[in-house]
Amino acid sequence: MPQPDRRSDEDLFLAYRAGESPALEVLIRRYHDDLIRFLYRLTGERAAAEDVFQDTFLQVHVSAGTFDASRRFKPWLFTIAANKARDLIRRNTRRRAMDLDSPIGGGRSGDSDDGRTFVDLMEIDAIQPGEQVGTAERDRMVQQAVSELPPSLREVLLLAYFQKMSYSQVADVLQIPLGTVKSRLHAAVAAFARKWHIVSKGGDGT
Amino acid sequence: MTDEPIDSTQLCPADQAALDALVDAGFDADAVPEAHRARARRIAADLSQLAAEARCVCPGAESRCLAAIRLARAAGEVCELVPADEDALELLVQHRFDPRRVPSGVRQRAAHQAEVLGLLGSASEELAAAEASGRESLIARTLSRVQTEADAQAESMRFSSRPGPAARRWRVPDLVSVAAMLLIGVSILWPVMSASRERSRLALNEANLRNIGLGMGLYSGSNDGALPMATASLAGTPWWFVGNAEQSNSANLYTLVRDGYACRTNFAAPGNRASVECTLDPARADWGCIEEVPYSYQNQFARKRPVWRQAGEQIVLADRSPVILRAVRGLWVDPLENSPNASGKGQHALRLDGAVVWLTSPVLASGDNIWLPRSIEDVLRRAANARRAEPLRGVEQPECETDVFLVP
Repeated sequence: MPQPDRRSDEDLFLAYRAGESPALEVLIRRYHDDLIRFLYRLTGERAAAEDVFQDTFLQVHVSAGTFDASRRFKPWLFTIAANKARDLIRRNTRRRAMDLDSPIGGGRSGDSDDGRTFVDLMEIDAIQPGEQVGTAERDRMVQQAVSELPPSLREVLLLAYFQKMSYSQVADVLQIPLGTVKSRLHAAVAAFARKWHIVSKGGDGT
Repeated sequence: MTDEPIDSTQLCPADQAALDALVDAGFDADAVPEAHRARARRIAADLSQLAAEARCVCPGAESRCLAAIRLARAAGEVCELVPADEDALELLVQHRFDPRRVPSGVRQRAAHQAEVLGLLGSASEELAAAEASGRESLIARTLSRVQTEADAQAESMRFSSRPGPAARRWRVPDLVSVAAMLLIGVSILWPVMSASRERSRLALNEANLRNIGLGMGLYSGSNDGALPMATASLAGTPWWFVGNAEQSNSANLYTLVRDGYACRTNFAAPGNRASVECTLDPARADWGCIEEVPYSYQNQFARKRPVWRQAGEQIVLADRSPVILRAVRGLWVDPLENSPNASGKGQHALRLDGAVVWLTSPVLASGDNIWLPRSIEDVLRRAANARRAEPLRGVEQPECETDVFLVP
C-alpha cells in the first residue's frame, strides 16, 4: 500500500504547477469527501455536485498560474467550488411552485416582533445521529431543509460550516459586506434549524 | 433580506391568478370573481397576519411586489435567531464550530447549534456508500478532464508556436532551394547591374573630362593657347608633392578650379572616392593630398609645353596614373598598368582637341606610354624585363612637347 503523501496542500499544488502531475491526484483524493459533500448540500443533487466537482478541479488546473502561493489552498479551492456551484444553480434555477394548500412551514416557534419570526434553537429538537431514525431518511430530510434555503443563505451557511471560515473570510470570498455575511448566516442558521424542525417533525412546524 | 425568498419561492399558477384578482379587487376577497374567490380568501387570510408589518415596510399594499414579499414571509422564509442564539453562533463561528472552546456561559447553546449544524456534514450510510463507490470513478473522470484540458492547452501552444504558412520552420532542403534560387537570381542580375553601374560610371567620367576640356579651352583662349599652369619650374622637390602649390603639377590643373574655368563637380572622379568626398575651395591653390587628385595631367615642367589644339590628338589629361601612385610609395611600377579609376580596365583620356577617348592600354599607337617620360620608356625598351621600371623620383620631365607624361 503506497504511503500517503504528507506534503501540505500548498506544497502539493506548487509541485503540480511545477509539472508534477500526480500531485493533483493527491489533492483530489484529499478533498474528495469534504468537497463532494459540500457541493451536494449546496446543489441538492449528487449528479450536479459531481459535475461541479470536476469543474472545480478543472478550474484549479486552468487557473493554476494565478494562485498566490502565500495563501492557503483550501479556501481557494472552496471559493472556486462555491462559484461554480453558484453558476450552476443560477443556470438551473427552477422556481419552485408552491400551492397554498400545501404546508407552508407550520406555526412559529418564537415570538413575533416587528413582523419577524424568531427562532430559539434551544427549542429545536434535533434528531441526534445515534437515535433510531433511518440515516437515509435523515439525510434526505437534511437535504430538504438545506434545499429550501435561498441560495444566498445556503452558500453562506455551507461555506462557513464546511470551511470553518470567519465572517471576514466569507465576506472576502463572496465579495459581500461583513454585515451582510453576519445577517445572512444568522438567518441561514435560523431558517435551517426551523426547516429541519419542520421536516423532522413531519411538517407541522411546531 | 426581505428580497431573498422571492427568487426561490413562487406561487402555483392558480394562486398567482387568485392573487392578481385579489390585488385588482383592492384585497377585498368578496369582490374577487367566483372562479378565484376561494383561493383569494385563503391568500387574504394569510396576508392579514402580516398586515402590521406590511403597512410599516411598504404602505402601498396593493403592489404585487409587496404581495410577493408577504407570501414569502408567510411561507416562513424569513426568520432570525433569538439574541442568545446569535451571540452563541458568533462565538461558535469564532471558534471554528467547536463548542468546547466556547465560553461556558453560552456553551450549551453553542453545543446545540453545533449539533444542528453537524447535520450538514453528516452523511447517511447510503450516501457514504454512494460516495465510496463513486469516489474512484469521479476521481478518474476529474483527472481525465484535467488531462484532456492540459493536452488541449499543450496542443494549442504547439499550434500557436507552430509557424504558419508564411513562417514555416525551415528544413535544410528548403534552405538549399532558396539559396540556390537566390544564387541563380544574383548571378543573372549581378552582371547586369554591375555592367549598368560601370557604364554609368564611365559615362560620368567621360562627361567630367569633356567639361574639363571645355574649361581648358576657355583657359587657353585667355592665355595664348597655353594649358592651365600655376608654376613653371621646380625647386628640386618632386612634382608629386600635392599641396605644395609652388612645385606640384596638380596645382597646375587646380588653376581651372581656382579661376573658375571648370565646375568643381567635374573633378569628382567616379572611380576615386577621395576625390568625390573632398571639398574643392577656390581660395586654395591645390588638392590636399595625392589621393584626392582625380585625374593625371600632362607634366607641365618641360621646357616646351603643348598648346591647346595645337597637336590635336595629343593626350593631356586622363584617369589617375597607377604608376605614380606606386612610385610615390617607393615601389616598383608596372608601366602597362591601367588606371585604378576604371578598375584597371582602361582609362579615359582628354585630347588637346577637346575629344575624350577610351584607352585600353597606357601605350598609345605611337608607342608613347602616357604614364612615363620617353627617357624612361627608352630604358625599359632596352631592358630585358620591360614590365618593371625603376621607381620614379618625381622630378622627371617630358622629353619634348609631344611626349605625353601624365602625373598628378
